[in-house]
Amino acid sequence: MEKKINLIPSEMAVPPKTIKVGKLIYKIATIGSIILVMIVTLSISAFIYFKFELGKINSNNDDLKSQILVLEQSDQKLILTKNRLAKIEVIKSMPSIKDDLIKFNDVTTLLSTIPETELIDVSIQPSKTQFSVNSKNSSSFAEFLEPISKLTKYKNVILSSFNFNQNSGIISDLLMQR
Amino acid sequence: MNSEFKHLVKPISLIIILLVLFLSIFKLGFNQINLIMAKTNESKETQRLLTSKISILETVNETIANDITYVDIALPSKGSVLYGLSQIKKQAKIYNVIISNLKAGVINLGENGVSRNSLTFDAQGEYNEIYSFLSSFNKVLPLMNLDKVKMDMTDNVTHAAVTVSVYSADLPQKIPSVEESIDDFSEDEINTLRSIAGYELPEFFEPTPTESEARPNPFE
Repeated sequence: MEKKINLIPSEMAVPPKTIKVGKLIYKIATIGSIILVMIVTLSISAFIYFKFELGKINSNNDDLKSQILVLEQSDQKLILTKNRLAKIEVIKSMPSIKDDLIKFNDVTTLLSTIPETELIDVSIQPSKTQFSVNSKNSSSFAEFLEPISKLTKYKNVILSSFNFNQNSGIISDLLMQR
Repeated sequence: MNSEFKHLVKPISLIIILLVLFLSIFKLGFNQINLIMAKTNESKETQRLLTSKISILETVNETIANDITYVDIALPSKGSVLYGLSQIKKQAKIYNVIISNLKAGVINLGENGVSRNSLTFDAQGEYNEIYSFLSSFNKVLPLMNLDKVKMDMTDNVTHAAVTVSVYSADLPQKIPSVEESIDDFSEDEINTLRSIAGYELPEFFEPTPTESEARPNPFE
């Protein structure tokens, strides 16, 4: 039987436990190296894939941009129209007597139905309408005052002045607020 | 102890090198991949935006093929006073109203880029005609607002002192970049366009078809 001769002094010999640990570390390092290579390969592949994808999207975007340049006239038209429309909304929101004029038509319609009553003058400003009415006698004045005070379109109806004259009759000034 | 250490130096160094490589690749590789992914996502977003912009622009002509001139005249960039004066005279003729003392005030530069000019005049006629004449300003171009009216009814003739405002606004000075998003017309905007197209134009203005007409670039 072959006999192994160890000439290394026993105190210099590496203990078998250490040899085992060393081998284990080598194994771990080998597995780690394989994983590292795999990660590097995957990363490079992913990078190349995304780079290719990005190039494709960018070239598609360039095509789309040139299509937009062809539609430049429509683009200008849209921007100009939107700009005007936004400003038209600003104008529409500005104070005007548009609604006051429509409301005052109710007053004139009412006056036309009352005998011996006539409108003398009217001043219409945004949210405020002032007018004077001449009623020939007290009954026509009362006939006019009753429905006018019930006009729901106005928030306030104020009889601001009241004059009586033998020749012309009753002249009343009214202030209507909405 | 010394021989044990010597035996383990090589594998431990290997592990340390491996760890350093791992860390470096993680830092460099993942950074690069994240960066390119972010760029890809950004480009995809731009692509989505450009596609939607093209589809909006392709339908613009259907919506505003003929209305653009009405919008131009509804709020002109200049000449609003002339248009306004023309419109006052035109409406006066329609409703048999006599106009006098027609004056234009000083231009007021308002907020939101809209400038206002006051026009004052005296009108004379029957009350109903004056009323219809004043009401007609709600449906005329350029857009006008009635500011105040003072009417005096004597001898069956109505005398009115009228103040109206006409407006003008500068054209936009720059066009947004190609990549900037645009919004399509809202329901309200389409309704405004349609209603304006039914308003009365001033006497010396005739709308021209815009379909094949090359408009000068106002942004240059």
